[in-house]
Amino acid sequence: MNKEWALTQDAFDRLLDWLDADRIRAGIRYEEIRRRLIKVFIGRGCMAAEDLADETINRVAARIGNVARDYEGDPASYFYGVCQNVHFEYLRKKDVLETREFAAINSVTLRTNLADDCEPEYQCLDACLGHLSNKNRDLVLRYYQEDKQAKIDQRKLQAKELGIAVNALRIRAYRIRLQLERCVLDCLKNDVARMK
Amino acid sequence: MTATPEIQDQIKRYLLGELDDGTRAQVEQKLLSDGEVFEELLVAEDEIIDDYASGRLDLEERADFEAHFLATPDRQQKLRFARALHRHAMTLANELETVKRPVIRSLWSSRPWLSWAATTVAVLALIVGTVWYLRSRTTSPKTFATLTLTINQSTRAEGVPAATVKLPLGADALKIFLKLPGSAPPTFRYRVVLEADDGETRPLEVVDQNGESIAVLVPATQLKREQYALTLFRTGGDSGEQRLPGRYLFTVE
Repeated sequence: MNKEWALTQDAFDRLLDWLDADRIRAGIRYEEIRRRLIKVFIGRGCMAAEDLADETINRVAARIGNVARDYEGDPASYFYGVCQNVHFEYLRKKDVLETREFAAINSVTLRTNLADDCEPEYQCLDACLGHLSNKNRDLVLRYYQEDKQAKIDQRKLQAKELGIAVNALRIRAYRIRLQLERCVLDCLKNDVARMK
Repeated sequence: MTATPEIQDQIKRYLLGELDDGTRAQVEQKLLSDGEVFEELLVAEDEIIDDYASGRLDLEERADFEAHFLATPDRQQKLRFARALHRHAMTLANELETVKRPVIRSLWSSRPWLSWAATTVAVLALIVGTVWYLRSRTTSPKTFATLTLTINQSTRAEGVPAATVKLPLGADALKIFLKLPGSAPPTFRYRVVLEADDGETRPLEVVDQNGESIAVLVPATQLKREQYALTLFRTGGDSGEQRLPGRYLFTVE
């Protein structure tokens, strides 16, 4: 693989064509694969997960002519094979210094986390809950209120009241939580920007 | 979602870095090709963070979580968010409990016959309650806030920053994980003494232990806004009880 190779518009278009004949669906599929590759790299403890996912996509795009012609099966599996190689090379290239720096940074951050300091997040969350509809706010706060057996009972009751299965409630709570999480991140960034 | 309990278990172990290479590759391939499995991973990530934040992971899982799962800043941020959400939900639950009380008082005054019925019920409740209280005094708290501490060899006077815990705790008890200085055989036994800033000391119950850390509980009602130090004593080997040098420090704000 030529490391200087950059993703061209033509290669990108052909990559999308390979993913799906419909351009909108292809775009969605592309985003899905990229997001999942990032999670795989994060799962392997890579700090530069996004870069590695993009490198994986670039490599597939660089040989898209052959791939589109010869490869049969789910494109995701092909991406996975390339991702394995990218990760392998990443591990080989990662020098000792980088590892030490990462360990030092991570250790400091981890200590901060373990110290239970979530005050800025708490303040932002307070504001973000105000942006939710009453229904969603009640759902998410009730969902996370209890603990252990009380929590299981509470969630069963909540699902029954909503007329949905417990697993469906779990997914619904997750999606609202994700909305809140993004709002809190934006809020934290804005706070930092205001302080500068 | 069609994620079976087996897949859910595999995903949990994947997130904690507990799978062998072959199984990990299988899970990763499913994550890439199956949208439902991927969504299950996202949900499981949040749940495992909640379990960690509430002290529901056992010691081995906690160690895996800290060493593997928390390896990236994104996930560390997710942990802070989870703690904030948990605190918010518990605060709201407490507020709702407070709001309910005046409603009960107004119901009482508008229906006098209720007082007779209530007296009878109260006597019965007193009997049942006394029995329940006597039996439940030894049961464990239900909800936990957690704190992980590393032993500090210096003194508080030297101004070493201590971990902080904020009140209200939003849980029944504070579960403190004390990292042991160096690994020790699991046969060793530990005793922990909590010392408050005013010099008052009391022993803490050791609720869990492995070769790398031990866990103790402090009921939320016993925490005041001040500095605390934990001293660790170890029994095992040939030397009888031995006080480990250094202390574990934290501040309640």
